[in-house]
Amino acid sequence: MEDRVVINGFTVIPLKLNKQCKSCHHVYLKEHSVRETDAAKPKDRTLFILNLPPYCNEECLKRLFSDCGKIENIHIQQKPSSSAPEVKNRFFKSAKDIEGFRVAYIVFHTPAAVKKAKQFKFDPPRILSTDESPVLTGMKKWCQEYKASLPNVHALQKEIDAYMEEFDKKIQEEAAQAKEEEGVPDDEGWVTVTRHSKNKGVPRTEAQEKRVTQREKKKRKEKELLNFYAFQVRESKMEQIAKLRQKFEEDKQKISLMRASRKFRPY
Amino acid sequence: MPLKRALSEKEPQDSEENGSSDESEDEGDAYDISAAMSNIKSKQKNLKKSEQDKIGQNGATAQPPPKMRKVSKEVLYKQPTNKELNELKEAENLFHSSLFRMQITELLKEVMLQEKKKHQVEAYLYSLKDAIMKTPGGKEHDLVNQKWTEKKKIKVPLIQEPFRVKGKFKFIPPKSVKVVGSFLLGVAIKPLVSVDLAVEIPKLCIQPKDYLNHRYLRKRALYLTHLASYLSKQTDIVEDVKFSYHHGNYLKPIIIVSPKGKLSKNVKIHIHATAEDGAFKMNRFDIEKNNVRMQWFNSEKETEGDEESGQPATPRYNMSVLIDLALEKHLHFLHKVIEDSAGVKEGIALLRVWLHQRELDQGQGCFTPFTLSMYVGYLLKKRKLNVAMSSYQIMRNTLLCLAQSDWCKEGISIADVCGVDDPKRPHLANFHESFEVVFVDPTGYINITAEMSRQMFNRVKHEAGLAIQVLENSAVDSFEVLFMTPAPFIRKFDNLFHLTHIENLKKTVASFCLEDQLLDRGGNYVSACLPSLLQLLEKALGKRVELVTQKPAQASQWSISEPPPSWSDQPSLTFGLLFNAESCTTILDKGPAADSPEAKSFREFWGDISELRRFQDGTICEAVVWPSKTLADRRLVCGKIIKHILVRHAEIPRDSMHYTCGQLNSLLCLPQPTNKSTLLYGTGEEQNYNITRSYDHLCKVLRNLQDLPLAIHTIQGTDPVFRYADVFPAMPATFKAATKVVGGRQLPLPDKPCPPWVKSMKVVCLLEASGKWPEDAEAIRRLKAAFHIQLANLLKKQHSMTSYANVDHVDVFKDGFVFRITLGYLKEIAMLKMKKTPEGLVTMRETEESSAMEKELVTLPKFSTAMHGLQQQHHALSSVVRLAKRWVCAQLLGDHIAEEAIELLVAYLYLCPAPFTPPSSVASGLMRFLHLLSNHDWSLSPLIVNLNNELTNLECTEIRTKFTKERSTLPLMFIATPYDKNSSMFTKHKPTVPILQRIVLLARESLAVLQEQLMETHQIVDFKQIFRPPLDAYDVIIQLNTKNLARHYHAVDTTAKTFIPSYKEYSKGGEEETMPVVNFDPVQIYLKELRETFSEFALFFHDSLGGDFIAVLWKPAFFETQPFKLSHINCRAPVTDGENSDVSLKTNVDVILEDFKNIGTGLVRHIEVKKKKH
Repeated sequence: MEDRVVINGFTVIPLKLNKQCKSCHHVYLKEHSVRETDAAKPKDRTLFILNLPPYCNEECLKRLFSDCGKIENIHIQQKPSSSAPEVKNRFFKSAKDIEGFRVAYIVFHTPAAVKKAKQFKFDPPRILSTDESPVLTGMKKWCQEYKASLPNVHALQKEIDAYMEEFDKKIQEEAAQAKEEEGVPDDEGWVTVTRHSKNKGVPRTEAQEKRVTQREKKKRKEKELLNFYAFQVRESKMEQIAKLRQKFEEDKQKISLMRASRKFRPY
Repeated sequence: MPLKRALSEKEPQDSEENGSSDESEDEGDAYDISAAMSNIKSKQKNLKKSEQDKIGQNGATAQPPPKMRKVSKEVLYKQPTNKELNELKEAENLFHSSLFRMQITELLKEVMLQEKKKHQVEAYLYSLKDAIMKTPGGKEHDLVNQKWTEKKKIKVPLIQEPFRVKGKFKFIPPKSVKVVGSFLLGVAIKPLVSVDLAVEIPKLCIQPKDYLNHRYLRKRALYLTHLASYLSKQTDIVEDVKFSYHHGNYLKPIIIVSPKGKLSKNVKIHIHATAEDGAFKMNRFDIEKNNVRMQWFNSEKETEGDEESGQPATPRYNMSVLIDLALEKHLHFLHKVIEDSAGVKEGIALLRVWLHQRELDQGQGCFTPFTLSMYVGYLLKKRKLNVAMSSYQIMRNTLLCLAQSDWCKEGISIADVCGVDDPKRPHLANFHESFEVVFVDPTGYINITAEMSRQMFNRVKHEAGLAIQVLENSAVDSFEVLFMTPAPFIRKFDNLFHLTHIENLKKTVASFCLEDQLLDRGGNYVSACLPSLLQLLEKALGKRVELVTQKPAQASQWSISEPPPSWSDQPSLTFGLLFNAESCTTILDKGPAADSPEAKSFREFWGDISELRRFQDGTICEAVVWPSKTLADRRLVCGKIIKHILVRHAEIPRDSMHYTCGQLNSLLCLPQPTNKSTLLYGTGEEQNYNITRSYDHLCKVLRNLQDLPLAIHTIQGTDPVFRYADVFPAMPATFKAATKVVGGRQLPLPDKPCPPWVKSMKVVCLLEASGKWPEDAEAIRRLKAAFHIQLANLLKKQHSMTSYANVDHVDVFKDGFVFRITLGYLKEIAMLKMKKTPEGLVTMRETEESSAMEKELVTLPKFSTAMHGLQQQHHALSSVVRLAKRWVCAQLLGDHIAEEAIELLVAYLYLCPAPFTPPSSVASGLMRFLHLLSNHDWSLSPLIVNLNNELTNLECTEIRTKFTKERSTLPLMFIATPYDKNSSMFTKHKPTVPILQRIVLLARESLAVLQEQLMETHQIVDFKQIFRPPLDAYDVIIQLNTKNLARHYHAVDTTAKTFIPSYKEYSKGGEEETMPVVNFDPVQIYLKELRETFSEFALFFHDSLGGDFIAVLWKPAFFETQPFKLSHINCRAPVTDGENSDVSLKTNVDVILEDFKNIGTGLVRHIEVKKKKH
């Protein structure tokens, strides 16, 4: 048997939580190569890892792959993607938490490290949780998470203040820019109306547009004469009969449906 | 023809395929659980075949129905013919609606006999008649000499007490055999068509004095015996011969013949023996006459000299003979009035279906179908109905008249209406003296309702009233409710009450002095004392109940070689109580003033427990008080009253009374720790009031808070506990738990037992609108967090409440409870929906976040208010909701169906109770909940829960139409409310199709078990049985470490080892309060992680109320081997295919099982793999 197991270009290495575990997950490695490149995941220096178990964290990966070379960055994601993941805020999460099995991108300093990682031998299974740096699971993890879920109010307040300050600044800038551009036509001679302008105009929303069309419809309807000419009377009568028929037909269909599901056996 | 049928069968199948491809996501699950279900089915062998059929049906209902065909314009707008116009209009005028008309037509097709079948029956009747006419004559015997029956191995179908009687009997072939009753009138209905044959006993058989002392009854029975023995030998036309009592009347046996061949499935021939016309004079059996002599009855001696004078009248005996003499006359009368009108016949058939669904047409003293036909005849004669009416009108008007009549006070008489000229016939007043219910036949001598009790009539009247209400309410599907939904006795009544040891009733007869009745009823002491017993119960319960009735015993059939069953053979008598919701829990019965003359009789009635009391208005009255500490106790008061009164007045011993009421309460109680518990919990209702009180105070505090930058505009508790719908309302967190305190907050420790469950109760506060709010969703989030911090600070400063802020809530510790306050701002919802198109147009599109927030801030508060209001109207609602939730949780499905959905289902039982009244007891509520769950047609009709009656009829119709149009895109369980008309938000994501199928199956089984248990009188029943889930369907069971279960003491079954926290009354201590560990349930976190990780491979089931295991069911994906692709790579191991170098992926079972353990370190005790499937 070969030392290395490679399937479809993926190097396979077995992985387990701790020494006592008897069976292993199979992790698949490959160099990261996609058409659209991103600065956060440089093409030749990034290692792509699949099928990481839920308890595998950044620290474990660092330890496992530090032999290959210096690690610049690690991205753990739910699904493979070419772009960099969003930066997480400590208090206000914008993206969903990563659930279950995950993928990772390890960015090394040199391309040689990726090659080295690809040469990993199959045996023995790598171990995630060691005595020096244990991976917490179960009750221990949950107790810690409970503790973490209670925020430091001061830090939170600070973060809010900073954000709001920046936000206010942004708003002010926008307003200032709008003021500046007010009444100034663009290249084709159009003047943009914003809500900061003097003459605000009607807001451009869907609801507003609907309202306008409805108003017009109503106006048109008011002008029409109903049941005035003989043909109109005739038509409205016909309409009524058609309605009755329609209902009758629908009922008939309903009945046949019910009959099909044998709904008429009382007992 | 067969081809056509095959085609029509194929159609729905096609659509099923279409439907399943729409829900490809669920398809896998469907496969899986139905496989598991088949497993269950094979285990439960007692599942009847019919029920299996139904399951099959339900399986079909899981698929969306085919789309509606569109009617072409041409057809709609073509010139109408006169006939068509009439028909279209007629449907609206003569029937409820055209749909109703078509439904009725379909129903009648189902239940009425087809012409072809009728001819078959007729042909058969001819051959039977010939056989009967050919019966050979017998020898003459004394009436008491019945040795000949022994030779023929046949028993006389009559209880002959006292045995000795004079007279001789000789079998002479019948004078004639005639078909009478419903079959001839064409109103017989399936499922069991009974054709009544009257066999006329020739005059020659009858001696002049036969009217006396049961002689005619004996003769009739012997005649039938002879006939039965002959018929049982005619095996070429007769399949089986049995005896039965006609409508349970012990004096009137009949022969039931099952015809040979196909007919026997749904046709039975009832043979009555009657006396030839002119055998007796009618007025011999006048109601005031005595025809059974006291001396004979008591001493078994017959002396010719017995004079009639001075003897008590025997009206019931007389009627039972008379009805034989008038059979033919009645038939002629009905024939004449019905005039062969199809409308009338169909109307009667409909009414009979209605009666049958309510079990009113069965057993002794029932409202017989014959009575019904006669009543329609009476109304026709009275010109309340006419023969030109449609079946719907006949039915509706008959019900209306029935609901408005009172045959107990103002009896009705056909003879009077017809103006029968017979000076001898008795007056109505005379009938009222002897009978409780009076309906006199065309001859003027017979009371058709002689056997019926007042309570039975009241029940019928009550049901008729309900039916009229249903017909007037266009929001209800009246057809379904009136004709299709069975309303059996056990689900109809709120409480049941059984009497066992029937022989005790003999004493009761003596204590009521009912010897005359005993004489009249041929010694049947049960029926003799029932009227008095029921009257006694009615008097004792007074306003607490609307109805008290006894369940008529089912008419039994027995083989001709067996002795006839006696009244004392009944194992028990069952009574049903229908509560008056307002007053059934009163604990005080106020009597007359102490000095009034009635006081003595009141004291006499109640005995020692009656005492003098001074009331608030200054009067001093006799009163009876039923001490009860908790609300649960108050619901038992009726039982206490019944027991007290029956022991006192009817000499019935306590141990023969079984009152089923409080048994289910134990499931809502918390186990009490053996020592040092100081808090009264009961069924938790009192505790719930404590929480509400504390919450009200918190609201006051919040409203009066100073210095909040924006005012709070509404406060609304959205936790189930605020609408009295939490299974276990929280107890004050006064227990000691092993925790570490950091910054005033307790933290759980991994190596100590998990602290007991403390739930935070959600309160939503909406902030007022203001121009200062930014127009950006992210900024609003920051601002809200800032508000939360400020709110916590203010509560601490101004009211010194222990409160801690978090990003999206504030936790407040008050009176031992934790309230979680969330601030909301309505405009944020719009902000989340807003999206700008590239053209700069602002559009509103619903997103996941926006609908979640809308649910939280808008719908849930509205829903909570409405449910709270409903709970205020119906005191039992809360317990029913809680028990229903408990049942769902106990069946391990609590995580798979939203609790709001369960609440809505129960609310539906109260808003649309038809064909019942709103349930006033826990048991009836639970049964109807299970029935609704298992019998509602989820695939074809939406469940519209019209909270607060806010939906108009028009809106309801709109919801239905929209539902039918968009069926395939909507969830299988679709519930519409006024606040959520078309999206069914509480059932959108769960339950999934297979889960709902499983719930339906479990509900059906549980209902059957529960009903059986409620009728059980001879053993101690364990009502927890339906709260223990069957486990054989699951693949893996993860056993949990009980010391880390936060809610283990909530479990259905607790042991002595179970840790029960000792709760005390809350009192604010001097020392600094610490915030307990909130919402920390390791099992729930564990489950969440399992589901996140392995949702592709398995489903997880757990009883969130204290369960100590998790059940796992593999999904089909688990067993599949996939090709090597990135999308299938998770948790699979590569395998190579022998020589072929293709690599495929196989599920890594061992690693999954090991990960179950790894993820739940410290919580998982043991993993049990139940069966190897691969």
